[in-house]
Amino acid sequence: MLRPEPCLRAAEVSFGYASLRVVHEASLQVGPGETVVLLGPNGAGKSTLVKGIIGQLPLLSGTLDLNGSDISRTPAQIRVRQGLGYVPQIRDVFPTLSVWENLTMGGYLLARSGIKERAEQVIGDFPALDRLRRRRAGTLSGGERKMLAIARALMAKPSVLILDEPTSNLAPLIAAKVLEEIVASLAGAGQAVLMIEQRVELALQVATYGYVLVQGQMRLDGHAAQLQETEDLSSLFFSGGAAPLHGGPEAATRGLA
Amino acid sequence: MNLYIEAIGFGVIAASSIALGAMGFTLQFGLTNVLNVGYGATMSFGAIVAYAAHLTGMSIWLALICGGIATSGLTLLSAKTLLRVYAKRGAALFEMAMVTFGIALIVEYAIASITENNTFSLTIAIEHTHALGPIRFTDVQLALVILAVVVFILLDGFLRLTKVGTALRATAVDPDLARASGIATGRIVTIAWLLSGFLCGLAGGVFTIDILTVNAFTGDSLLSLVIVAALMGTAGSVRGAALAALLLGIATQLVSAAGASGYASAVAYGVLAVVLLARPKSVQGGLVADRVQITV
Amino acid sequence: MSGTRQVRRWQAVAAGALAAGTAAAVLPGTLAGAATHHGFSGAPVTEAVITAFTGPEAFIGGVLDTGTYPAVWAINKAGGVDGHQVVVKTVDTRGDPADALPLVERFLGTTSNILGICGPDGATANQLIPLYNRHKITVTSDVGSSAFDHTSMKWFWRLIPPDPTNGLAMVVWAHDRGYKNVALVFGSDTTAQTVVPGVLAGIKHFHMNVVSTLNITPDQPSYQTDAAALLSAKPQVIFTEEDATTAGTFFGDVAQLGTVPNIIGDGATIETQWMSAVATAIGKPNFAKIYSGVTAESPKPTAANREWVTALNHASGIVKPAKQWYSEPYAMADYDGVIIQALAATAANNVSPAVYNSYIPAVTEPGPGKVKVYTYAQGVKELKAGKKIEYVGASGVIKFNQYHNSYGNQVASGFPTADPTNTVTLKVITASAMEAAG
Repeated sequence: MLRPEPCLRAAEVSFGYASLRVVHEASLQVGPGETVVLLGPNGAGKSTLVKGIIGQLPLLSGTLDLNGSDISRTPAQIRVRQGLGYVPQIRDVFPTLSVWENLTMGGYLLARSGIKERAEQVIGDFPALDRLRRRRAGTLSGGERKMLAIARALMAKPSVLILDEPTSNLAPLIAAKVLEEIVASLAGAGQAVLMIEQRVELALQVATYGYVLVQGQMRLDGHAAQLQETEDLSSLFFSGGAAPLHGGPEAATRGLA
Repeated sequence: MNLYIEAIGFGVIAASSIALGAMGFTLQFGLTNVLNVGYGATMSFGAIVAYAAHLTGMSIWLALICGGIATSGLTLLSAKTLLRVYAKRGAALFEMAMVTFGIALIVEYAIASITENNTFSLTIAIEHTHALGPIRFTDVQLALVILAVVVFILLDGFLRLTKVGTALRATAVDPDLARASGIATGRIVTIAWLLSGFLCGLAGGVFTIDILTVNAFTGDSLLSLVIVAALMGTAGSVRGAALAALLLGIATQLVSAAGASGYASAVAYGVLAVVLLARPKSVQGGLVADRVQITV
Repeated sequence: MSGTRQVRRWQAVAAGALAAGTAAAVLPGTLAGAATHHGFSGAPVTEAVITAFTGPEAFIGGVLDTGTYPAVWAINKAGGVDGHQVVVKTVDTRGDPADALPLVERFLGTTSNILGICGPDGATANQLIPLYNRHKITVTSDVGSSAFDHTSMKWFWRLIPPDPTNGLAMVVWAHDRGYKNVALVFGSDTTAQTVVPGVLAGIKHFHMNVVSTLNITPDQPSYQTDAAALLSAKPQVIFTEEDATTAGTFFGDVAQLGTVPNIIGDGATIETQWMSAVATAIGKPNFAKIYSGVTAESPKPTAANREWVTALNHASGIVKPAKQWYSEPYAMADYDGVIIQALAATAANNVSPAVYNSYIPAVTEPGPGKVKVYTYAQGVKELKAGKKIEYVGASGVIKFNQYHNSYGNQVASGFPTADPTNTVTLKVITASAMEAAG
């Protein structure tokens, strides 16, 4: 099974806070139509890695490419412009703005004339939002809210969409729905998706490819189907994995994921 | 009884300057999270500039605009210089409030020194006094109320119907997400400072036309009501600020009608205290922002 | 307390402005040559200036010094008191009763030969004046507090009318004009409130009707409701004091709602900013028509004023330039106080206040066969010649009532151009008229 040509490629990247490295020389890639899931135990550095990719943390070593151009030093706002869409784990919509306004803000970088048209398109993809246009985003249910968050990020037609734990605050039934219906449909439309997910089994059913980050290092990667069959996956999660490198990342990463 | 009805009319007039000030205050506070206690001084500045412009023979209405523009410039200047320096050094919310207090002193005492601490009086010919039942008002007062209403409608329309206005609200509620959506939040914050400064100067000028006197400290007498109205209306909400200003204007005049004008301010704070008990969130700048945001 | 002092400062400025023209006439007065040295026969005696030299009321120290040093210069130039040279010592109360009491007790305990005391500040008066009285030390004072209007303390002498006197004079003036229905509009700050007791006392005496009482909080955004309430009460006259800004706004609001009634302002309203604010708000012609201000009358300058100016120019220990004090009424009163102490001591042939204190009326009270004297030297000369004297001071005629208060006249003035220096005297309200009403 060949992977598509990547649109986002991180090669041996390291990220961290102040003098503490949290992610050590990790590599991953995402291509069109792929749903790549980033797995790992709490504190492994998954969120840190994503924050680094979207530009909220400086790159300490390695390279980052988006659609073939180097974005290692590009400010966060420009990365958005270049096609990096991001849905945070929490605070993923503007609660005081209406659903429609949230979408228009998602399309902020589009030409003024194109925003409305794009919003209609996105609503077409997420018909449930249609009747909610005028509702304040803060009053939506969890599932609706996540749908809006993803729709908002899609407004800018990102080449890669990054979802940080899209199901973290959702009831299991809703969580399954978000992954199986919304996320899965994205890949169907050719969207490149990179997501962090704690619901390993569910995520691997939806994903095409997976990476496992443990104590800041990529311990394992493979096609989702392969990973599902990997027996020591759970032991990686619970044992804490191999010996730590670079001294004490455990302390550094606690609570950061 | 008539006095109470009359007081409601006076309250609406008083509310016009409170509302203009509170709308500007809430915009800036909601967006930058800086509790700008120097706002009173900048209102004085706007009032003095408007007065000076009027002295040169300019019509009072044009002079008002001048005061607004000048105050807008002063506000942006202090934001981009002093406030920015302290924000970059990591000043927290309280420290920033202190910095604005310092700016207030600089502005007020500079004005006091230039004007030799004089109080100037404004003469505006009263052409007609109208009566609406027991409520009496002059042409000028009517014009001030209309001005405040028009400004409110324009501002509210700007915030709700335009892309930049919506981005302003979006940045106020979640600057990180705004950035992640590609909104140039730095520019948005600049717009907020400019707008807030303009409204601030306008409020100072309108207040002066209402009370007919102006000096270096004129804005201070309006400041407490402006802050109370802005917080009551929830930081960042222009509609809330306008409504709260109306309520406060009427409430303070009703208290006067009851013969207790000395307690008017106390009542305003009392109302605020109750509102804060009911809705403690309204004192937070952005709904989620927990830090100062000057130039991001 | 500082508020009390504040209003009196305003009055001082107003009175000073009124006197500006007349004071100028005194300036070219004779400047005496350098003080001649005298052989003093006795040990030096101390004139103690005990008041606030630091803290919020520090300016009072400056005023009292300005009264005391020139007086002492004039006394020593004339040979001292009964052969004793007078020296000045100052004690700083810091305007704080808790600090002042132990400090002053220690000072009194360690200082012998105290001729008298000049002081205190308003904040420590309630503690210090009884203390002096217990020690039987004469204190001449310019303190404004009405706590001393009816005092029985024998060693206390006040040469400045207390603040409420001004209020009383306002009502006497209103009564004179035939007003019955009156309104009180005073700022709620203490400064503006000090005349209110006098106003109320007068109103009670003349059986006037108070149709509206407004305590207006300064610097409110709007006074329209207050203004409407005032107008609906239909007063014939408004007694008032508030700061200039508040006054401009308030009377502007009144003017917008109807016809502004007559206004009688106290001494603090006779001030450029206040007049300008109100005149602009209600219209200058209207202002000239309806406003009158009442304040202490500036006495006509006499030889006493020339001596005062001379002494000011020679005395060390005062804040220069001396010119700024030429018509400062409080400094003049303090100067007169020290001169009176020295004259009484001369009359008694004794520098101990316990002895000479009762001689004070003897050197001030007008009476048949008494010689009017205007300087200390003159007084000593007449006393030595066996004459009875009446000292007329830089602050004018001094006439202590049974409570050791000397009330000057007050004057109601009109201001046709809303300028405090351009006045028309409408009526002089005599001290006796006020005493009758109070």
